[in-house]
Amino acid sequence: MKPLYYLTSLLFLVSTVTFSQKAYLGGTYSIGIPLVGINNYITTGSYRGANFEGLKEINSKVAVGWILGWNVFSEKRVNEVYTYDNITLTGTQYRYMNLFPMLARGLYLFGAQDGTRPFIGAGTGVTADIAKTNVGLYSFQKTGWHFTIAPELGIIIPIGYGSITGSLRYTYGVKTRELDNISYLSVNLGMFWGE
Amino acid sequence: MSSNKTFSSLFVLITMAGLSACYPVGDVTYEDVDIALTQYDKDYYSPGEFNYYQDFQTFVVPDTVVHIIEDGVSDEISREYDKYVIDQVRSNLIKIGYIEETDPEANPADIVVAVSVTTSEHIVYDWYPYWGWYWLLVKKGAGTSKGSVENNYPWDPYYGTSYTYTAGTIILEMVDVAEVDESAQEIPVIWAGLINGAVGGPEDGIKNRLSTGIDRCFNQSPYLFK
Repeated sequence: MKPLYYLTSLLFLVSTVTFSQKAYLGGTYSIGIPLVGINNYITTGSYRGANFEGLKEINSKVAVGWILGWNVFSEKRVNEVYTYDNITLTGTQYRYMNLFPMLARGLYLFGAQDGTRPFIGAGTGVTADIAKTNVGLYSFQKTGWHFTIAPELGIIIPIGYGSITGSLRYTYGVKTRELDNISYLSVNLGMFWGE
Repeated sequence: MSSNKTFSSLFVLITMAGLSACYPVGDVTYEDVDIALTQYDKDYYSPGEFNYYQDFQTFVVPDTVVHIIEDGVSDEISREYDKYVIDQVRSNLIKIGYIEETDPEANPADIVVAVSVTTSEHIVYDWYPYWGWYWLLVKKGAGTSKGSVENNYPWDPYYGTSYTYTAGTIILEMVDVAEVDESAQEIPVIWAGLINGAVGGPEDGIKNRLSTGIDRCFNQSPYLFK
């Protein structure tokens, strides 16, 4: 499980450099838009997704943190024809792709420390991928771990006790032995609390 | 409500919204799980190279559907739709250009398309992750550390479901009569079609599903067309 070792190392690195300054914990609702690698399997967008995330400012401009996410892409394809060698199969397919990004990330924050903070940043880590196709009474599943990079831009707006946040993230996962590369755009809206 | 609790509640709502958005596993009809699968013999057809199916002119479909059952088990498969299935196969073969041989004993047909059927019972245990997570959050509550959630973990079978269904398969087998080796008891199947699905549903729906499945088997085999 090399990807997990990699992720653990990254999170350890993050934890060792986080000291003082503001720390946030929060969650976001995530809408996913499939891009190259996913959209040849599932073309429709996903309204099913969420992220749990933590952030810590290491100085007035830089924050580091982590994200544990889940985005589900799914699609029903009626009477899809599948041909393999001398076999042809017609049936309604239910396609599901469950993606679980686990990323360490760094952000560059603009604006004043107690004000609205637009940010740009990037995350890296792994994404667990469970791709399942149900056709007829049968189910076929492939799983894999994608090494992942995820640049993003967003904003954190303080409101009383916590903050609301919004971000646009591009997630790219490299090809694995069993699965093609993945990429998708996610719109994430939610909140942080902490200080 | 304090700010902390408000935030916790909103956080739970956001998470719920994310996890409970639509997931197309519901509303599955009988038609949705029907499949039609065909396989051709590579010795008879190779795309762009040869197509020996075109050498056949006449066919016969035996008037009995073979019910495939285990030894010692009584045949409980209904024969209600046997004739309908046979008629659908015959009409498809005629439609794609073959001639039905009405006296196969005197004039052996080029091909025989035999029809058989088999069924099998299945039990499915399933659980829906959304409900498990939902109850975990509701019972425990965000931001608290205590609460009895032992009976609400997603893998607890209490919140899972199980159901039984009977899968039925109709098998169409095309035999090259000239290649039948009676001494070796070998019957060369040169094309096969399978219609598979869950047994059940309204009667009109069953007939429609049967004809749709049989039509698909032939329609997705254009190399058979005259």
